[in-house]
Amino acid sequence: MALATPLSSGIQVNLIEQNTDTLLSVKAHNADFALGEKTLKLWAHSPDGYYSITDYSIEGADSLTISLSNIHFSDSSEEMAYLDLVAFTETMGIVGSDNAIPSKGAQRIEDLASEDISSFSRGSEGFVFPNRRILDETIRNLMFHVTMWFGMVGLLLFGFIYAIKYILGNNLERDVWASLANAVGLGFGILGLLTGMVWAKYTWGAFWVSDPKLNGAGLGVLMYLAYFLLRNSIDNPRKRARISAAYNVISFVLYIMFIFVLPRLQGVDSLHPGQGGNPAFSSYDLDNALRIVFYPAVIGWTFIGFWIFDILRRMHALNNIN
Amino acid sequence: MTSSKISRYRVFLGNELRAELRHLQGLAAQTMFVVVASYLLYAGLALLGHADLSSQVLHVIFWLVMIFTIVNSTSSSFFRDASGRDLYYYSLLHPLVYFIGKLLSSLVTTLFHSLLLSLIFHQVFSYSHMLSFHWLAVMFCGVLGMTTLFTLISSMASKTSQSQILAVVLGFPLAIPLLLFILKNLSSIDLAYAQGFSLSSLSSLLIFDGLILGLSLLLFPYIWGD
Repeated sequence: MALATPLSSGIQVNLIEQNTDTLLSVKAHNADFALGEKTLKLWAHSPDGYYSITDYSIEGADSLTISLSNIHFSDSSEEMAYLDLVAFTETMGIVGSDNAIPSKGAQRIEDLASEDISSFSRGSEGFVFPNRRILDETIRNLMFHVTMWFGMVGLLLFGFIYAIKYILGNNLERDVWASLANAVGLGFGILGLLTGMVWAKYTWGAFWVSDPKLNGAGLGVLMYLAYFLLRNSIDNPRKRARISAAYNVISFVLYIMFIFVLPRLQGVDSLHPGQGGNPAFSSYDLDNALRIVFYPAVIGWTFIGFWIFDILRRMHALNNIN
Repeated sequence: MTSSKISRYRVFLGNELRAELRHLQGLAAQTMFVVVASYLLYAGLALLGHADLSSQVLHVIFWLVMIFTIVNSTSSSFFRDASGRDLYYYSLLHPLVYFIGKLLSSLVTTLFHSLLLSLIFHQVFSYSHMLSFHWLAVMFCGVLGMTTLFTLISSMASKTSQSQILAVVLGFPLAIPLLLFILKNLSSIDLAYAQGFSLSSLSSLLIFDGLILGLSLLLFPYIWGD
């Protein structure tokens, strides 16, 4: 579902220097300029209004170029400002690319007529992923990576609570519950790490970058692998339960410190959304249509985690029935 | 608490310290490890002409050697005891006293070794900040946190069949956050050397030490109690 739902139409703008002219190359995603040529309209958007751009040439089905020199590019010494580019065709509706047109000074568009665009339709109907610069198709990962990490933290928290319960109550079943919840949580953690790595490859350019959040996640996986190594090297069940519960408590606390506290410390920078001054997805990428799916997906992944945990728990109970 | 109990505790603490110092073979082996490791680094780095190592690299190398020294020291303090003595102490002492005794006796040797290592680094790599107050303060806090963490981990590992390697495997992922705190504190050492050093910059490291110490004191009675 998250893979089949189309990305909404969008445009991607690149600046090309050509001789003395500056060209804007506009690539369309899920849109056809040639087909929609009759209805195609382009605007430059500044806070004052929308200014129609008429001087463009269509290069192909999904690309066109705009010559900036013909829209009165004045070379004043004022500081650089960026205008948004807004495009419309009948099939894709209104789409925009923020801060795409460089301009020096606002007077260069004064010659153009401001236009009221409220009569044009707002773009694709129905549920689609929002099209954002840089993120492009990778926004789908929101439904996997982020939600799986929510599920993982839930399961590890459950394991942590049951480890404490074991320490306080000496009930061996609680230790089994804690270890099974940690196993499922570790599985989710590894899957979350893999989906995050694929996302990082296409947005940051590498599967693994040195980043406090990533290192914390990698270490968390190591901690819980060590936890299972510890469990496997002790034969006496009560001894195993006691010692692994103690290790579980200390590793969970340090893990939470490491992925949630340390990246927020001053002077630690992170590329991860929501960290180090980067906006989290929720602030501008999560539109309301996505929210409708995102929150149930969090609950759904968490439930799937606990469902797997429940199956494992019952399997364990059946194996130990005698 | 009766006075006999207190004196019993004092005798135990004294015994632990004395055992640590009398166990000359182990102590000498650890000192040898420090010296040989620094000679190896000297041979590998300085002799081949990489004399101008950045301070960041030196900090990391220093703490790597220290972590292995601390693992050796803490795990040997648990293996030193014959298996029956565990039970004897258990009937005699509060677990926290036992833990603190182990911690203090390890701390004596690890602090000694860290001082020795700083001195060697100071001479071999001619790194002048190695004996500054900033360095010593951060080093003390770091060694305290590391030793506490690895004392707890060694007490867990000593209950298993393959304890020595397990102490490393269990401890390293947990030690890395602490290591990052230490390195972050040290990263400003060049600047702080010029400006003078304020104790307040140590606060995050001290809070982390306190967290580890608190967790260890909370959990140790349950680890030991089987």
